[in-house]
Amino acid sequence: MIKLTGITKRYRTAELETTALDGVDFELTSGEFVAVMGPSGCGKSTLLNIVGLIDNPSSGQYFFGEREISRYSENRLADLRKGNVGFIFQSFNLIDELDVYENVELPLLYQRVGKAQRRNLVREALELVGLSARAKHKPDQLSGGQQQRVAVARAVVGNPKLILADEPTGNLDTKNGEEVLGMLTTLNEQGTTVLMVTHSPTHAAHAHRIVSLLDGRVMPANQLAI
Amino acid sequence: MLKSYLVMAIRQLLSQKLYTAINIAGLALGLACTLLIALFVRHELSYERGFANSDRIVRISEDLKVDPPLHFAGSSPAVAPLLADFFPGIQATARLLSCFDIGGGVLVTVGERQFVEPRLAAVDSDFFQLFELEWLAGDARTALATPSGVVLTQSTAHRYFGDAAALGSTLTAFEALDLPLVVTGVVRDLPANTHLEFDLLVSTAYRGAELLASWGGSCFHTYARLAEGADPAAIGSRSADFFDQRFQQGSGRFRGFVAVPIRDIHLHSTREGELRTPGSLGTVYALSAIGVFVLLIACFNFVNLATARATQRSKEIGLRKAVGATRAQLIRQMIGESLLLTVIAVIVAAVIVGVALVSFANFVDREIGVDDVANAQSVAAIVTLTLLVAIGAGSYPAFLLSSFNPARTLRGSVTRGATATTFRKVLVILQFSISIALVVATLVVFYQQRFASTFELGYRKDQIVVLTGSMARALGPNWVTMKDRLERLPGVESATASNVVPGTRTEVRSQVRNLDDDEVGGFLAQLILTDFDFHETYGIRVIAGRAASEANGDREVEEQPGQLPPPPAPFVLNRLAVEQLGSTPEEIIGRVIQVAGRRGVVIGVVENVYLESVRDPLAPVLYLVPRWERGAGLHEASIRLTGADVEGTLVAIDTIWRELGPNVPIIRRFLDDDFEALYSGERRQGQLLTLFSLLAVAIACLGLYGLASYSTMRRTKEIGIRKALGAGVGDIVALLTAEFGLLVLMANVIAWPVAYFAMQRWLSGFAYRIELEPFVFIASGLVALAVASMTVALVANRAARAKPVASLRYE
Repeated sequence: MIKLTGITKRYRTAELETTALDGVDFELTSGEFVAVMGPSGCGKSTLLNIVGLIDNPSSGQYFFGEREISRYSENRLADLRKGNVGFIFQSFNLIDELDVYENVELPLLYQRVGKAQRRNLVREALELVGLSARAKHKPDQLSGGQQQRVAVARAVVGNPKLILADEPTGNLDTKNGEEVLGMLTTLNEQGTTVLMVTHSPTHAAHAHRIVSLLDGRVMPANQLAI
Repeated sequence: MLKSYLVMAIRQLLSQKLYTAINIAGLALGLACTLLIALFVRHELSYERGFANSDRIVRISEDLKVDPPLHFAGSSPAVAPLLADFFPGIQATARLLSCFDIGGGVLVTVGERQFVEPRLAAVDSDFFQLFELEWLAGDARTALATPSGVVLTQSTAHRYFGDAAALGSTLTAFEALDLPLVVTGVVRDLPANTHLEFDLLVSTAYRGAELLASWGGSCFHTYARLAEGADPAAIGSRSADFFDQRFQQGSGRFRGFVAVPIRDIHLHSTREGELRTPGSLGTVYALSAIGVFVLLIACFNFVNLATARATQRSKEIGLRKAVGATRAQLIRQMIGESLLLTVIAVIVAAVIVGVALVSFANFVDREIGVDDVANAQSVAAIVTLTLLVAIGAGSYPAFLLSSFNPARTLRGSVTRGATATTFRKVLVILQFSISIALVVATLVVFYQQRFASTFELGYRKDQIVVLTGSMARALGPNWVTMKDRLERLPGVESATASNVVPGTRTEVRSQVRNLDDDEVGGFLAQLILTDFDFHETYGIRVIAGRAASEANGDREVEEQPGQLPPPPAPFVLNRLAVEQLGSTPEEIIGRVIQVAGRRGVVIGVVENVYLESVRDPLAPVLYLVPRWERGAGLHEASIRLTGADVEGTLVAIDTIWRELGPNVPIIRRFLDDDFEALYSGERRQGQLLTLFSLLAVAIACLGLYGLASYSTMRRTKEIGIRKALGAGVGDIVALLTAEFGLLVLMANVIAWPVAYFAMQRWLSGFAYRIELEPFVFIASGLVALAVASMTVALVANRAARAKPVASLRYE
């Protein structure tokens, strides 16, 4: 489904240049559940961002399906994102002015889905994460775990092919973390591809495959960085 | 400490270059506007103050209590000499008569050269006691003691004699009197801020004793100096007694006068026969209001941007407090920043004013120069204004920012105060209300202009050339031949003559009475003396009877002594005159009437024609071909061109004039141009309004741009999220634009009623005017909305195109 070849990402500031990813090769097959692990600052989030089409690599090639998209403009990437990719961030990233229902509904609005259909999909998503009773609440009225579940609902409401989760349990306690991970596993069993960045080996164990990153490079499988 | 405040202020301004630039630009524009308007207003309010004792000098202006009442700027010449005796409060009097004998000027011959002088006036010798002028040569006490003296202004003397001394030189004026004059004085040119206007002064004695003692007419401007403490109103209230006792018992019922302080003339006079076109108090008020509003808009911007930046600076403020700054110190620091910004803006504004001053002065048709700016009073005013703006605009942000709780700000939880947001929105609404109101005013003025210039006047004014003869020689003894020759030219359709040309204001009225029907009272009408073919040349429609025709001998016949009384004079009336006589066009043909004492008969009726501007209501008019030698007494020749080969025809006309016309310089003009001049006041008002509307909108948009930038920055993370979720550029732009679009829509609610009342007031000054249509208001609102949306869209577009990762990382 996704193939990255020789992907490099460099950040330049006035004083110095950082290489976040250095010649990374990476593949993701449809229906897989892959965990990416590594110490802080090794480029995990960057990899996720590139895979999730919210950033361009400095060099290398990115095949999304049949298309080579490493040089796509922001507009075209946006089009591609719609309906294909769902995001779950570490810090939830909900919009504070909107209530739970409206937050979950957002991706559908941008995909121009009709009102009746939107209502159905949002209801389903909220049921999936067990928050139907909280549809009218604002994010600041929910606990951390509940907010993340809203984020999960938002990520899946449009039935994306790929879900990208960046440290989804990082800000949650153990119990809530387990719940979210359970949801991801269930989604994957239902056919959604999941790419997850995580610190926790316990959580990584839920995945089919673990990829390790160190200093912007992929480590060979037998050198797990724990 | 002061130095560190300055250094901090400079760094603060430099760290946010875009917003500093927007702030300075907006403030500078607003200040420049206000400064220019202030210069104009000050000039307008300063009239006559250059003369000593100007607070005690009044002008005696006559009123005629008829229906409708007539108010003249001048009075009859007999009044002045009798005033000091009758009124104890009056110390001295003097008359001024503005003279013309040819095309609104006097023919002056200096050696071989001829000049037409529109500003030649005759004054009593006491005039110089009342108005102390600066004498460069000659003696004020003796200069006009004799009828043969003439006093020139400095620039006139230079025009006639160059650098040579003018004193003692000779010139002639008033060809009818063949008056040789000797230059007996040269005075400094009058300042711009006075209603008096003259280039040459002669003695009133030239008019002859009989005329100077006349109680008729009101063209002499009569000035009087009052004693200390004398009340002008008291003089006016006794004017009826004056006329009863000095002129004729009973005349006080319909004659009176008012003592107008000369300082009030420029802005308050609406009387007929002013020496110079007066200014308008309405314009002064309107411009003052605009000046204040534009400055307010700019100040609102400042306040808005500063408070919007509160979130940016909250950490800094919290930190300063944590290390020991008191609230007072912080306030001082921030007002210092505001002051620095204002000072820079004032400097930029001064540059703008310097560049724009000449054009502005031309525009408002006043002499305003650098001197008006570069004096102590002006500088003091500007400094005061700077301080007011800096403190006024800077206080609210200063107080707001300095009130932040340090702990909370360092934690990062002061994101936006709800009240601050509302306040900023209210300011934006106010800014756009002002702008929308100005746009409405501009549109209304524009439409009224267009209405006036396309108004169906009832006569044709295109392709009419007017040639002016002189009072003394009129159109010359060869007029009949000249008319014939002119009409033979291929480029000429017809030619005629008259004493007055449509589009010029006249004051002369004649009493008309219906002799057949005593029940209908008399009324005042305008009497126009014409040659044959007048109505045909001007395309004025005849609706009953006929226009005066040569074939029928339709002209006034001279009374011959010893012979039978002549037949009644043949008058053509306009429709309104017929109505005032209580009749209809068909019925009135053949009716006998009395006009200014002479017997007349109605031979025809023509359609009403708007002979003056749309500000003035229609008047009843009578037309007559007078008994004089054809052409005599009529000094305006009107020639209608066919439109083919205009250049060539004009040359031919000039040739015929030089050959057959009276021996005066050719004064030729197109009637269209006169007409334009009639409305030039309104046109200028319209242009001025357009300029200020654009400025107001521009400044408001500058502020909006700044505000939108901040708002977008605040929502960066949210924008990133939405984009990650699939929002396109259009979705983001729409989101951000809607927030501000709503404010602009609300601004209409305030702007429309205000603009409506203001414009109704203004329109009521026109006898004929447009109606205020909803379209104007809606269009203004839409314009404001469009401009605001575009401004915000500019900002939003930038934000929308950024990569989501950049904004999500922002957190």
